[in-house]
Amino acid sequence: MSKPKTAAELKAEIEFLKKGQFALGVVSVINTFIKYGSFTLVVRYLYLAVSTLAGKETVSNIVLSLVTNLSMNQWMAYAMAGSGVAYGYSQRRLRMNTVERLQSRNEQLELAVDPNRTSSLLRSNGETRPEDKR
Amino acid sequence: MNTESYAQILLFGLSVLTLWYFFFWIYKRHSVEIFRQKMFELRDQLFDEAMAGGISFDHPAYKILRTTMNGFLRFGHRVTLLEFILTGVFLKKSVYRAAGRISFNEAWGLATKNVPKGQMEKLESYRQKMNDLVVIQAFLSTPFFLLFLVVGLVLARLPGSIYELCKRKVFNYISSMLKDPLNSVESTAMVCGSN
Repeated sequence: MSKPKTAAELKAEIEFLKKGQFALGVVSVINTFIKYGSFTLVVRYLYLAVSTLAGKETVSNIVLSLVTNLSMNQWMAYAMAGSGVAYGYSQRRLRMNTVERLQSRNEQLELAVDPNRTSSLLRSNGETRPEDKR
Repeated sequence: MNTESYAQILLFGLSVLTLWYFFFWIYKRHSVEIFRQKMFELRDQLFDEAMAGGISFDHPAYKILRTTMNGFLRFGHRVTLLEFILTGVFLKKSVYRAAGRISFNEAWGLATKNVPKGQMEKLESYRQKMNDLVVIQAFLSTPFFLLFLVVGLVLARLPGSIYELCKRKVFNYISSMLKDPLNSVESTAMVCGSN
């Protein structure tokens, strides 16, 4: 059995964990600020542009104008972009299913060679575990 | 302003919001998956190296490399430039030492003390490749990645050999700048990978 830690060692360990968590907290706040700050800015300017329309135009008029004024080329571009996204999504599902199907076999084969093999602890399909997300 | 102009503004705004969603969700997730895929490939190469007798599975250097790669794989979604810098600021070597933990550099030094030169070069190349992947991912996952993309595109227009030289110079400069934060990130990954 390992030697129990002294009060000073435990204090230093707590300090280490506190600093680590503080760094994570700061990163999380800055990342959230960048992500949702940019969203808020886009929505704000969109709102300012559209709010001047209040009482003058109906939503249906705008949507109708949007649909009727798009050229065939623009429709094609949107259709191609949409198809690309759908294709990418379906390929991703396929890859994750393949990873899930093959990983346990790979793990068994590697364990036969190295019984002390360590793992990344990701989910069987290669995704981050929910408890590791923040 | 007529209805058509408003419709165009609305369309533009929705397109920007779609791009925002693509960058912060789809692109970020995709870049993490690419990073993990490359790190898995590197870990597999290291495993094959050990299986071929290049190094023992029980050698401390093998264990440290594998554990650190596991840490990067597990927390690949947290490898960002910001985290990189802040980890370097808050988790200095002295903090590790005070907590009775050993930093990656110290553990690596102890593990590779008696390793023959040829084997050491191989092990160092694995460590270098691991760090290259981490540095690239840190830049790709930052919202300012477009700036780096522009620099990359400008460099790519240079003739082949000059491009390679510039790429290496820029990469070495960035790596030397990030040396200390990188050591802290390696130590953190080593701790995370062993849990």
